[in-house]
Parts: sequence; C-alpha cells; structure tokens
Amino acid sequence: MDSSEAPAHRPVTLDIDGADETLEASVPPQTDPTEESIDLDAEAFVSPQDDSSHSESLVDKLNDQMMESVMISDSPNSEEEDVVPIDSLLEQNEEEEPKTPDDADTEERIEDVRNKDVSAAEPEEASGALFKEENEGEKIVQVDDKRETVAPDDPKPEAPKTQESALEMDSDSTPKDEAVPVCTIFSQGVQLKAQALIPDGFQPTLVKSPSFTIGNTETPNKLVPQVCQPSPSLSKFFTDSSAVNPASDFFDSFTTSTSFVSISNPNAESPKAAAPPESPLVSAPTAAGTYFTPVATKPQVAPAEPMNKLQAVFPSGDDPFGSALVTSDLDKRRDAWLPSEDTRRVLISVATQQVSPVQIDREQLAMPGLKFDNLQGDAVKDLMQRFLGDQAAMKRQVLSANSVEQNFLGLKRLISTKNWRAAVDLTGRLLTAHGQGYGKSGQPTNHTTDSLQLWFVRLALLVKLSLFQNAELEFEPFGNLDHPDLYYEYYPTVYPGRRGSMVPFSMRVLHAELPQYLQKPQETLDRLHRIKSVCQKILSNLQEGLAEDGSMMNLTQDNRLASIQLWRSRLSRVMYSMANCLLMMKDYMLAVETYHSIIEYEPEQRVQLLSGIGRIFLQIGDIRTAEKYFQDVEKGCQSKGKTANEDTSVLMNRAFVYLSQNNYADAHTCFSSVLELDPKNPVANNNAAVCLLYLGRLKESLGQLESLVHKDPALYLHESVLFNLTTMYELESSRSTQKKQALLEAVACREGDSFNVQCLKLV
Amino acid sequence: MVFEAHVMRLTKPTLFTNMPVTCEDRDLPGDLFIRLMKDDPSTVKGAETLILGEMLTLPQNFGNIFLGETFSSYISVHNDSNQVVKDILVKADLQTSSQRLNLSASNSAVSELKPECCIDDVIHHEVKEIGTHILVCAVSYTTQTGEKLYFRKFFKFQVLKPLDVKTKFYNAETDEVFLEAQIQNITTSPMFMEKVSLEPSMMYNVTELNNVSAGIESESTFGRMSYLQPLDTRQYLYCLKPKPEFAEKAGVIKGVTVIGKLDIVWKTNLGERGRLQTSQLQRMAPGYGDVRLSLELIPDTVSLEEPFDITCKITNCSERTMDLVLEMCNTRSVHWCGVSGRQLGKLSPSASLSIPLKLLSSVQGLQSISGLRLTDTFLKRTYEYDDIAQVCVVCPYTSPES
Repeated sequence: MDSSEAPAHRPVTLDIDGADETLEASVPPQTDPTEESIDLDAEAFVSPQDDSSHSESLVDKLNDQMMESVMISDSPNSEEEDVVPIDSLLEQNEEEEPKTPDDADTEERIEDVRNKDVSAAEPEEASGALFKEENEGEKIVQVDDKRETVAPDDPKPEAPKTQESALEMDSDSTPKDEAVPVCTIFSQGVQLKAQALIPDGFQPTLVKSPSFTIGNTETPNKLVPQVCQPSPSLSKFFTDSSAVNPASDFFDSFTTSTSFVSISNPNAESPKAAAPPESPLVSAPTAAGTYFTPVATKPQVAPAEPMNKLQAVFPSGDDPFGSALVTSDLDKRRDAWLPSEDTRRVLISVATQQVSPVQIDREQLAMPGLKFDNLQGDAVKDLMQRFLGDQAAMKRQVLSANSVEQNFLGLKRLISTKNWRAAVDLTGRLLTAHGQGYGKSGQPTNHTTDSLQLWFVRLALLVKLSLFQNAELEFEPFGNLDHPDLYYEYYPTVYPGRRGSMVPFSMRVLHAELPQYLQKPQETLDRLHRIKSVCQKILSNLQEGLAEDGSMMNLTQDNRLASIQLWRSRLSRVMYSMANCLLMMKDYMLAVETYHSIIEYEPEQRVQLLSGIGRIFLQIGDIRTAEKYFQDVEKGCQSKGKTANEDTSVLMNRAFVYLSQNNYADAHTCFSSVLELDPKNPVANNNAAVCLLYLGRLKESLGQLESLVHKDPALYLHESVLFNLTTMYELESSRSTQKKQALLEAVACREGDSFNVQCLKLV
Repeated sequence: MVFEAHVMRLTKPTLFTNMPVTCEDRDLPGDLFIRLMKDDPSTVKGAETLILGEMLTLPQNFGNIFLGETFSSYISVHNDSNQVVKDILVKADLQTSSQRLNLSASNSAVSELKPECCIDDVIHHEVKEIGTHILVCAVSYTTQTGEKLYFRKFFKFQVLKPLDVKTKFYNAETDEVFLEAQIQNITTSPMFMEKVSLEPSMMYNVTELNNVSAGIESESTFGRMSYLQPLDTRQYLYCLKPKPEFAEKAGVIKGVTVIGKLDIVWKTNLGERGRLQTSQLQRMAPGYGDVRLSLELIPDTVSLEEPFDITCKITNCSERTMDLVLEMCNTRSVHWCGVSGRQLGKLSPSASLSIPLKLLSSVQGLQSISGLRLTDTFLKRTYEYDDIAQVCVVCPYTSPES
C-alpha cells in the first residue's frame, strides 16, 4: 500500500521546548540526573562535562563524562497550552456521559436512540487486534488468545467457565453414572500445572481418580472370559497368541498377581480377573455391553494382513527367537547409543553376569507409569453442545479408544484420523496392560521395545496436543533416558545378543525438545547438544573403521555406509531441533547459522532452508539481508534449470519482500502467480486472501477463503486459515458467531478430537 | 444492532510456526507422523522440520504501538439489517492529547448501502505523540423511513516510547568533536536498525564511524548483528568537524552550539517501519581561555632521536589584541629544536596563526608533548600548554649491528 509509505517519510521531530506536557510520559524509567538540563534554554544550558580546562587529555575526558538522555518524544504542537490533557477528559467520561473533546456538541445534535447506549460507554483499553467496543452488551465474550491482557470488564470470569466445561466433560465421560465424582486432577500439587493448561485453549485435563472408578466398573469379573491369560504381554497383541516364547514367559514371571496391578481396575489384582486393562474405562455407549479383553479378542479383530505389515515394521520386533538368531544389522545401526560411564559399567557387569539385574539399585532404574489415565476429551463436541445443542453434538462421530482394535493397528488408525486424544488413551491402556499403568511410577518394571515405542507415541502425541506439562510429568521417571534397564544388554535372556538403546532415537529428540515449550529453552539446548555429541562420536567411530559404539567389530562396507547415512540424518535432525529452538529463543544469528549448516547434510532442502533464513530476516525487519538469501535461491534455481516447485518458492519469496515493503498489491500479484502454477497451493491461496484484506477488500478476501474452505476442506480446515477467516468474520459483521458456528459444523464432520478449537474463536 | 462499525488494527501479519514431531520409519507410527506433517498445509514442503512456515496469519491482538510507527486500521461498516440504508457518512478521527486529526480517506457520504454490504476504509497515521490516543468512529445515516441516525464508537490505545537515546560529546585536541550516541531498544521485540545517522547542523561536517572498511567491503562495527534485541543498547560514534569557514573563526564557537540531530529508522516484524528524530543536540564548546593552542599537524609515530615536525595553531580567543612570545621548554623526553623565546607578533581578537615547530624525543614509547609557553607581553601573562598531544616513539633499528 503506497499510502502507508508516503506519510512515513516525514520524520518525527521534537521541539524541545514543547515537551512540557509529554514529559511525564517520556521520561525514561531511570531518570538521568543530567536530563533536566536538556530542557533548558541555550544560555542556561551547562553540561557537566564541559569544564574549561583546555589541555585536558582525551583519556581523562573519556572518564568523567556523563551520558545525557535525549528527549525523543514528539509533539510539534504541544506548546499550545490550551489543550486539555486527555487523561482528565477520560476521567470525566467515566463518571458521566462522554463528550468527545472538540466537537461533541455539534455532533450530538443528531438524535439517535442508540446514542444513549453509546454515551453509556466509555473508551476502554484496546485489546485484541479487533478492537473491543464497549457498548455491546449482547455480544458473546470475545476471548482472544492474548495471555497478558485480560479485559477488566470481561463479563465471564475464568473460574466459572472452567467449571462449566468440567461439568460437561463429567457427563460426557461417565454418562451412566453421574454421581461418580470426578476430580479434575489427582493431587493438589499438580493442580496448578493443570490449570496452566487452560489458557492454551484446551479443556482442563480430567483425570479420574482411580479410587473413584471402582464403583463405576460393571463387575468385570462376570464379563471377563475365562480364557483370558494373566499376562497381557504386548507382543501378543500382534503375534500369534499361541506361540509360547521366552519373552512372554519372562513377563509371566514378572506380571503375576502380585506385581501386575491395573490401577484403574483394582479387581484385576485377583488372579481370576487379571488383566482386562481397559474395562473400567469402557463407558462410552459404543462399547456398552461388549466388553472384550485385548488378549482374547485381538487376534480376531486384527486381520491377518495388517499383522504382517506390523511385523514388517518391526522386523525383528520383540520376538526373542528372532533376535537370538539374527541380530539384524538394521537393528544394530538403529539402536546404537553411547551410554554414560556409570550405565556402561552396570551393563558390562550384567553382561558378564557379575551382577544380576535384581541386585541393581532401584535408583538407577527407569520406573515409568501413567500419571493420568484418561483424556477422553473432544473439544469440538463440547463446543457443539454449547452452540448447536445436544442433538447436533450427538451427530458428531469420532473414533474413540473403544472403537478401534486395542493394539498397534488401532493406535495407528486413531493417529491417522487425528484422534490423538483417543490415541493417548489407547496407549495408556496398552501400557497398563504392560504393567506400567496409572500409579505404577516408581515400581520396578521391565521394558521392551514395544513398551518404549508406546511411551514414545504417547509422549509425542501429548506434545502434539500441546499438553506439555503432562508430557513432562510422564517423562520424568525416564530421567535422562540413560538408565541401564533402558538398554538391551540389561536383558540378556530376553534379548540375547542384542545391544544398544531400547529408547528410540526420536524419543530422545522429543525428550530434548520438550522443555522449550515449558519456557526452559536452555535445557532443550543442553539436551540437544548431548545428543549431538553422541551422534558425532558415533559418526567418527564409523569413519575410523569401528562399530557405532566404538567396539572393534567388522562392518561390511555397505553396512558402514548405510550407518553413516543414518547417523548423518539423525545429526541433521538434531541440528534442526537446535535451530528451531534458537529461533524460538529469538537468537536469530545462531539460528540462521545453524539452519545454514544443515544445508551440508540436507542439500536437497537448500531452497527451503535459504528461503526460511530469508523469512527469518524479514521477521527481524532486515529486508536487505533477506533479499540476499532470496537471490541465492533464485540463482540456485536458474543454474539448475527451473522446476515448477522452485519457481513457486521464488515467487513466494518475492511476495514476502513486497509485503515487507508495504506493497500489498504486488505481493498479491505474486501470490496469485503462484496459484497459476499451482492452483491448489494452500499457502498462496491463504496469503493472497490476507493481502486483499490489507488492500481494503474485506468481502473479496472473505469470499476467497470461504470458497476454499468449502471446496477443499481437507486442505483448508487448518487452524491458521480458520483463524484468519474467523478474524475477518468478526471484522465484517456483528453476526460473526453464526458464521463461526457454520465452520464448527464443517470441522465436526472432518476433524478428529485433536482439533484446536481455539482458532474458531467461539469462546 | 443492525448497523455496525468494526475496527481492526492492521499490524503486519505474522508467519505461522508449526511444531514438528517426527519419528523414524521403523518406529511404531511408521510414516504416520511425517505423513501428517506433509498433509498439514502450514508446513514447508520438503523441509517439514522447519518451524517457520509461509502461511500468513492476521494479527491476533492489538499489540503495542510506538512513537514513530504508522498506525493502520481497517474500518468496516456493515449493514446487518434487511433494509437499504441511505446517505452514510463514516468519519474516523484520532484524538490525541494535543490535537484531533481526521483520518478518513474521503469525507463524502455513500448514497446507499444494501443489506449485507459494507463500507471499507483503511486508515493510516504516523504516530507523533506519546500517550493516550482515541480513535473515534462516527457514522451517520438515514433509514428508509427517513429517520436520521447517528452513532459513535471510541477505541482507546496507548502510544509508547520505543527507544532510549543518550548522547555524550568528546572534544579532541583538534577542532573535532566526537559524538557517542547510545540507543536502547525499550520495546519488547527485536528491532532492525535500518538507519542511524547524524544530520549535522550547518556548522559541521560529519563522518560516521560505525563501519570498518577493509578494501571495498565495509563491515559494520556491530558485526553481522543487524538488529537490537529488547533492552539491548548500541553505541554509535560520529566525528564532527567544523566547516572551514567556521573553523577560521574558532573563537566564535563558544558556549552552546547546535550539533545536529539523530535520524533513526527501524523496522520490525515483516517490515513494520518506524522513524524518529531526536531534538537538536547541543554541545557546550569547551572554554579555551584567552589563547587557544591547537594542533593542525602531528605525526602519530616518530623515530627515536629523529626530529619531526608539528604545526601549532594559535588562536586569540579574547576580546583584545595580544602580543605573544613563544617559549619552548624541554622535558625529560621531549626536546625542542629551534629558538625559544621568539616573538610571534600581534594577534588581534579571533585571529589565528600557524607555526611549524620541530622537536625530537629521546625516550621510546608513547610520549606526551609538553612545554610550550605563550606570554602576552601586554598583560605580562603566561599561558602554559602541557600534554598537547601524544606521539608514539619507536626505535628505527632492529638491532645495534645493523
């Protein structure tokens, strides 16, 4: 927009004498003693450093001079003494009808019924990009996601709202028995943390206290089939349950009645009724009356073909026979890790049978357990109940933990349909079956490849759902992911010959990334550096002709190359995390450096990385440097011979530069030309619409976004697009709530329980 | 209400950041996580792990507005009724503590507005005052029944100060003045300093000393850090030299002089621009007494025991004519060459004369030049000049043999 550049050319100048009125506002917090002298006229102005000793050395002068504050407040006309200070005006307004300072009298001659409403109002602090206007009593509370500013006259305070939703959740999760008390959180210590989740737009995490669920359970003893085996070893979920293998024996010995306690179902403690781990949770109508235990029903539910797939995913899986016979190179490569010196010593002593695992100090073991056992929220449904009524809400169909197979397949289905809350529930059940359920934290347990994979998935989903505190709580027993019992060497009988870390590498990265979301970015960097140094050590081992862990083992050339490739990609993943964390910390220079160094590892991402660095500079406001990076991108594209995709990134970059120059018209043209090359490009579509708004074409912009959402909901029911759309609805009309509700319906048809309803701005 | 005005501040949009959670293909979720990320429209395709995406999102809150920035706002007046409304006049005024400005692009009335239609206006205003501002939107219109109606809305916001500027002057032995300006970012976001320049007053020429030139490339003294983090301070240095026509009358530069003003241009998120100028910076010229002795020429490095030349400039800063005699006294290290006690003749007020002098140093290292005495024979008054300047004295021989 040209007009915005034009007036900006006139510099703001302050006439020093005129500063009287604005002085209060402009005095810096640390009042400089020499400041007063600035306001004085020329004759009286004596600055302290100018004593008349003429041959003073420069060094001395350097030492004794004081800095002077310079007024940069700007009020060219403020010499006019007759202007009434605005604050006093406002105070008047608060008491009685506001008379707008100058021409209030002339304007108010026009009569209007509503004028009274207006006059009852008083100016309020602007909060929210869309100004909140004071006199709209009927307007539904508009809560933007600003955390720092809470409008003082917000008609609905935070507390009642929470209660309200808590009640909804209550009836939702236990529809049959409303008398069952549900406590929001299981201990007081955690309560604060849980409340801190609320501003994120998520429903408060409802956690049923295990002791309360007893009454709710529908006598599982009757329903549990006798065939149920006492040990729900996880491997049975996807291997033939009839196959008796040492692994399950191992678990049998471990998960006997004394140690296997399903905390949510204390009845499970009795040997008869052992291990229907999910039964107390089953209360949703879909599963009513059809209780099934994982072990008994799973093999029937899961078709044979997907099972093969699963096994393909876990080629050596947990099958001890397999691992005993062939420790695949793939596993060795993937599981390689360098434990700390202490851990290494313990592992060696276990391997040489100096110590049996039983003798190892509990302090040194990872003893995880669920910290909450039920998320079961669906914020979309709650909103529907509130705005569209119970009937509409009933129509909402999403998969829940009950409606899928109670195994990895079901878990994958929940994840791919974006029902991450249900997926977290399911991981909870599967882990409970493994003896690491609610309340099991701090009790000795055995880890398997699968249990750690389940933990990884669970924690990853919690992070994806932005439930960072919950993730942190459950990560805590794992410590630094370096306990001896997290290595295969610790279980020589179960995993004979297998070496390395059970903890998947991605879980280490996740563990490292987590603290930055909890305002502890330094911790994240520390952890990432630790991972990075291990990656580098492993790479240097490989380059020196050793095995990953530095042992003298002969690797074939192919193996070595494949391993180097894997570890380089892991190193680059860690670097990405570091750069991302630095960017979040606003340490732009280091972030840019780190992103730049990734190009070496991921040459095929050069265009994206250089463009990304350019965007970082645009964010800072350094347009010239951004343009340099964008030129690099263009040169790279030209020398390669343009491909369509690279052309779009060049155009996109140009559009961002125009945008940064306040030239929304040309930016819009650039985004539109991206659309000529790639009509379905959601980013270009959305960005073109945003440009239209800045050009004053609200209706067109709205029209464009709306039609996109209706034509291709899969691409455009994204929180960024919806956020833009709802913001424009609010700007357009007082009836935005209706239109937002229409969006809610669209969302309800497609999106899973992990949808972030905050972007609809309904509450 | 059937007829509404809505206002939204148009700060720059922001780039959407996403949160990558990845796994390897042999982990339990397999390719699920990466597929979810690839399907997510907000990720960067081909580099999904990069958190800074390309998707623009509209401003989420009013944010802060700072002096020197441009306040832009979208005003939308929408007809929510099912009736045609006539003669709509939308007026946007900005009330500050000192004045009231009309910001509407046009002041003509729109003849009619059909249901579901709206009047759009984007207003811009460069903020020139600190403190409370109130945006007043006044809408007057006529209904179908001929009733004339009118309503107003008020939107209040605070304008804050973005920068803290402190200055300090240093007087050099010559006529040069050095200005150090400390500029602190007191906003909450990083700030790219696009331009910080000193606009000198008519008496001075300015050299900016904020670049180190190495060959053709000149590098900023701030390195590659082109931006200021919140609460960071930067020092800028400028050298001011009086223009020759003013330097001639050095005696005239006395008391308070106007040096110039700093012109600061910065940019923040996606090119949001701000510009400020300081008030005229004033400097108290150092007093030189009756007679000022300054140096016009002096080498920085000289050889041990080898004579070198300096040129002194003697200016009569008093109101009367002087008759001066120059004496040169040797110090421990500095030895003057030539005749001491020579007559310099009469010097009228504000006049100056240059005298070339020769001297040598018998001691190595950084030596102070001292020992000049001027005596005004009219008043029998002697002025002493010590520590006029420093030179570095080096030994030209590498070893005694050579």
